[in-house]
Parts: sequence; structure tokens; C-alpha cells
Amino acid sequence: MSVDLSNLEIGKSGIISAFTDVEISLKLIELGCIPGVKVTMIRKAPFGDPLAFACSGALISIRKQEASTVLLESE
Amino acid sequence: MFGKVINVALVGNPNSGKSTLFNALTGLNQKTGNFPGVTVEKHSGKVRIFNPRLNERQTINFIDLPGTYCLFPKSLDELETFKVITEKNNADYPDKVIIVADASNLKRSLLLCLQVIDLGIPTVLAVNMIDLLERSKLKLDSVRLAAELGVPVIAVNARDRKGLLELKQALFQDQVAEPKVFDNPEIQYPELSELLKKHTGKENAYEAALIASNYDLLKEEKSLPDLREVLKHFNKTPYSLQTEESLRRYAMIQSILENCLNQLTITRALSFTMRLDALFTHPVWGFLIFLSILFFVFQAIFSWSEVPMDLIDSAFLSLSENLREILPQGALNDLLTEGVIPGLGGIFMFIPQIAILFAFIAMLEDSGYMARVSFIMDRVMRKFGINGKSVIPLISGVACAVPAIMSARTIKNWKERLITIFVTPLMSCSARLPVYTLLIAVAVPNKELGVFNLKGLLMMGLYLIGFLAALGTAMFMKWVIKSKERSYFIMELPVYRMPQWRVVALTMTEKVRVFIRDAGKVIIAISILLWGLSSYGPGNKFEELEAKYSNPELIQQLGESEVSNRLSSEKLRNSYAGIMGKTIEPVIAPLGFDWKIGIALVTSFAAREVFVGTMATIYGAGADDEKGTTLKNRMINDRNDQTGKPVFSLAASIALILFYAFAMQCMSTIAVVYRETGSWKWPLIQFVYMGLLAWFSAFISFQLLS
Repeated sequence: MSVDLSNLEIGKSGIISAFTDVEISLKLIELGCIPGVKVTMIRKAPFGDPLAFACSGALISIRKQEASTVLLESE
Repeated sequence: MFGKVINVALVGNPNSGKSTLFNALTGLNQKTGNFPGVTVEKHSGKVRIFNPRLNERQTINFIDLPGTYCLFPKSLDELETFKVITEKNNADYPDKVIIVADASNLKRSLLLCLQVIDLGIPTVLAVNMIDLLERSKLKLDSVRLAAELGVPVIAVNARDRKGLLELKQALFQDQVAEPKVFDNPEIQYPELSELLKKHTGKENAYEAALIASNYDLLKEEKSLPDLREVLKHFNKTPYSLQTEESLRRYAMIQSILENCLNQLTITRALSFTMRLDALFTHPVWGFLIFLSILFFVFQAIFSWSEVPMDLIDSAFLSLSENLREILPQGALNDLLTEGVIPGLGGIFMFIPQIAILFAFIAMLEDSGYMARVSFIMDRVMRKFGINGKSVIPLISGVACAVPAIMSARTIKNWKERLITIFVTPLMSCSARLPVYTLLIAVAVPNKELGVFNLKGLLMMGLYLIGFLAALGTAMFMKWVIKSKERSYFIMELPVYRMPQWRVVALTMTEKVRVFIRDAGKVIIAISILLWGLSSYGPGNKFEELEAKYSNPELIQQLGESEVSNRLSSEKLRNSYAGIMGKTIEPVIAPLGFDWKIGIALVTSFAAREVFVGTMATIYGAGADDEKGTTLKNRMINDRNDQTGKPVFSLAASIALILFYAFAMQCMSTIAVVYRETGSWKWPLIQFVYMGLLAWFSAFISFQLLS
């Protein structure tokens, strides 16, 4: 089953495998979220959106829709 | 090199501590904050530093640039940085760059560092917050890193000013003869690189490649040939250039860091931050805490400032009374004691409130909390066509719309940014405080409703009205403005830190200083002008009035003080200022305003706080027998010369308060909106919109209440 960042449960981790949106991928790449890097879902804002995930020691916020363009392979 | 000023730019990721380092290096009052994008404009400061190699002191011009993650700018603040370090004819083009790196996220900082090195600018890497690294038991081999990068690497701790001396000395080191090149387009894609160099006219292959990577952003400004077409022949796009370059660099960085750090998996001490976040971003507690913080701040602004405000007020009152005795009677005496000094007093009274307000905002920004507010508010804000990041401009708009509007630069989406800029001036800014305070004091009795004070509640209500007007307007604009551009909310949530008290104090004093300087200048100028306009009139009307009221019979009949009262009030009405007020009276009469208020509306067109000074001048010039009584009492006692009813009735006062709540009476805001949107279109629309909103809400409230 393919998982994307938007449906990663809190506390669970995954490895970024690909991006489906070029513009969003550019923004994430500059923050160090590149394919092969481990991401961990940390929390969700009230009403479940946006999300906050950890990646290389940094905490990054992302909207649910944006997160759905980040594909993961499970660890 | 003798006497030459060296330009040194500080470049780094948001929150890497650039501005703190800049402050430490220059001792300047540069505002810093723990929110991405606090430095939205470049700041510079000159220092003379001893250069042991030349055995003399050299002037270094440090330039603090907005934070950026790489040289692919995505918002206006990042573009600013990009331009300074890529345009050789830019006045701030650096001789050297200090890359400020966050020690706990070196990987990301090195991306930017390698890019700058490849541009051929002599670079020094300052690894900041080295204490965090040591605490998480990481060891950085900075000698090895310096060798790998070919640039000096200095460990610093800007917060406790550690490593500054070494950093300054590193600036005087010569660049190594053969600087390293990490990602060379001439090797990656030789044929394309040659073409790009030719089309952009750049000698440095990487510079040419950067222009192609940022083609969409730069094409209009630089009138470039169609580089997209050129890239297409090589199966590339600006996006793919960016992605491929970043990925190649990350691969290099990985192998560099493997040699320089004892462990690569950086488990940063996020636990404290996470525990706090569990509370601050909680669906219920998060909002409650946010509201309580706001409530506490307002409570503090009004209760803590009471004593100092009274002190300042009475100090100015006694100053003008004493001056009246000391100075010879006459025009200058009146001007000073009835115009300038009360006018300044009316404004300086608000220094305590403004200081407290800015101190709180500085603390909230510096601690990292503001980013959480954006995080929990994004979902709600999106409904109104704005972004979670818009909350920051809206909150700082409570202090002053000018810096608030500038901080909207971090919002990438044009529509969201425009709406934020458009609605921010509706937030109740500190310049409205003096106006509200005076008018509420005049119109509303001191009454307690349970534990609340009626005046205090009304004041809170005014802040709420401003906020609701901002949201309502945003919603309307969301529906009117069409845009296909996408909106993002990808940003770093910085770790929580103790606010730096020095920064808070600096921000506070700086803001107060600017307030005193700007407001003071305007108020003195307008006081003098207004005093002149209200003391003189056209023709010989004044002489006729003097003659009319010097009739002994009349004095006998009415008593001396009544005659002098009538004389001064008739004089005011026939003065140039009176004529001005009379001219606009038909427009404002439906709002319950008389011509005296008309004068104040005209003079406070440029800055709303001038209202208080104008009232002081008008009522000083209008009632000679009441010297020494406060402005408030003079206003309460004023009657309309036609109807005999109080000028400041409850209905008229409320209408006037609402007028000031909505009207765009601020030159600085208009100027900053013009600058930020790049045309007169938006400031004009905003001015008309806010003016209409002000007029109609004043009209409706006056008609309902009277």
C-alpha cells in the first residue's frame, strides 16, 4: 500500500520516496526533506490541519493537501 | 586597502541567529525574533575593527539580510537577499559573506553555504548555537570542515557573544588562492552552461545557471531572452535545474559531514519543544492559551501604564502652567502653553502603553510562540482568504501597521499577502489609543459593571471591532480577487527559547524613540500651523469682532468673562481654521460632528494621534477663562453654538470613535502600502474603502444613538 505524508499517523515514521508536485517538492527540498530522508509525524493542528512533522531534527508545518504530494515508503 | 570599507553580508537560514549575531557584532538595535522572517528588510551597521595584518583599524559595514534556505528565492524577503549577493552592481554587494549556520541543522545551512562559495564570494562559515550541539553530545571537527570547504569555520555563540573575536579576525584572512567549486555547471552540463553564460552575459557559470534556475522570477526585471526555450532543448526546466542542483549538493554535504561530525543522525533536543507544543497547539488549550495571552497583554497595557501615564500627564500640565507664568504674555506664550506642550503631552502620555505593547510582541516573537499561533490559526484564516502567517501582521498591527505590513513579505502567495496588507490597518493601532482614551473619557461615565470597568470594556470592544472589520474585509476580498496562484504553509516551527531580555529592551526603546521622534515632529509642526490658522482670519473680521465686544454696555450686561468667551469663540469661527472646519461641516454634520471636530479631522488626516493635540489647541484657543482645567473637562463643557447641546454627546462621541477606528488617517501606512504593493492602486482603494466604512459606520451609529 502506498502511503503519503498526509495519512501518516502521529508518532509513525516513513522515508520520503518521491514527490508528486514540483513546486511543493522545491520548498521541501530546501528544508532538507529529500528522498531517502526519514520523516516522523509529530502532531496535527486543531481540526486536523495543518500538520507538523520532524525531519532531520527540525519541526516543519505543512497543510494536509500539501502533505499528500509527499510519497513515503514505510521504514 | 587603506581606509577601504569592507562590506560583510550576514546570510543564513531563518532562525539561525543571524540578527542576534549582527547585534553582537555591531551593537546596533537590530530587531531579532524567533519567527521565520523577522528580518524582512536588510539592515546595516558600521564598526571599526583592528586588523592585525595591516596593523590598523578598518571599517566593516555589516549587512544583515533576510533569512533564506537557498538561492532559489520564493518570497520577497528571500528575493532581497538573493539580489544583494548576486548583483555585483548592488550598493550592498558584499566583499565577504558570513554564512550563519545553526549548529543543530548543519546539513541545511551547508546547502546555502556551498551555493555562496560557488558564486565566488569570499566566505566565512560561522557555526552558531554551538552550545546546543555540545549539549546533544555532538562534536564538530571544525578544522576538518574548514579544509573540506576551503573557507574559515568559526564556532560562535551569538547569544553569549562567544567566538566573536575569532570571527572578526577571520574576516581579515585572505581567500585561499584556488577556491573550491562544489557544483560546477561546466562539468554537469557543459554545452548548456556555455549557452547560459552567453545568454545571461555572466562569466561565472554558476551565476548564469542561477539566473536560469530563477528564470520565472527574474525574466521581467532583467529582460532576459527566453531561457525556458533554451533549457527545453536539453530536457530541463528551471524547476529541474533547482531540484537536481539541490540533490547533488545534499549528497556532497552528506559525505562532508560524515567526516566532520561524530554522529550523523542528529537527534535534536526537541523534547522540551514538543512538550510545550502539546499544550500550545492543543485543540482546546491552544486557543484558550492564545486568548488568555492576548487578554493578559491588553490588561497589562492598561493597568500597568496607569500610574506612569498620570505622572506624564500632570508633568506636562504643570510644565505649561509654569511656562505661562515665566514667559512674557503674548502669542508665543499661547502657542507654547496651549498648543505645543499640551499636544506633546497628549501623545507622550502613551509612551508607557506603547512600550509595554512592543515589549510583549517582541517577547512573543523571540520565544518562538508566534509561529505556533500561525500553526493553529492557519485553518481558520484560510476561510478568510489569508494564511496562518497573516496572524503575525494582524497582531503586530495592534502596535503599528507600518512594520506589520512589512512583515507580510514572508507570505509567498500574492493574493493572501495583498489581503493581509489591505486589512492590517483596520487593526486598532497604538496611534488610535490616545484618541480613544480621550473620547471615552469625555463620553462615558466611570461606571463599574460587576468586576469590569465600563471604559475598559469599551476599549476592548474597539479592539474587537477592528479585528472583526479586518476579517470581514478579508472575506469580501477573498471573494472579489481572483488568483490562480497556489498558497503554501510549509514553514519551520522553531524550537522554543527564552526571550533575550536585551532584545526585548532594545526593541522597546527603539520603538518608543521612533514614536517620540515621528509623532513629536508632526505634532509640533501641526500645532504651530493650526495655532496660526486659528489665530488669524481673512479680511478685517477680527478687528470688527474686537470692536463689537469692546462695547462697554455689552461688558456691563454680560460680564467680562462671558464677553471674552464669546469673543474668542467667534474669532475661532472666523479664523482660517474655522473656515476650513465650516467648509467640511456639511459632509460631517450627518455624523453629529461640528466644525471644530471638522478641524481635527482635517489636521489628523496625516496621523490620527494629532487629534488630541488639535483638540488641545482649539480648546486652548477657545476658552480663556478655563486655563489649567484639563482638556477633557473643556470638551465635556463645550456646547454647540447653534443648538446649545453638548458637542461631545454620547452619540457624537461614539460616532467619532468609530470614525477613527476605520478611517485611514495615516500617511506612513499609505506610503508603506504603496511601497509594498508597487503601485498607487491599492493604497488608493484602501483609502477610499476605509473612508467610506468610517463615514457610514459613524453615520449609522449616530443616527441610532441620538
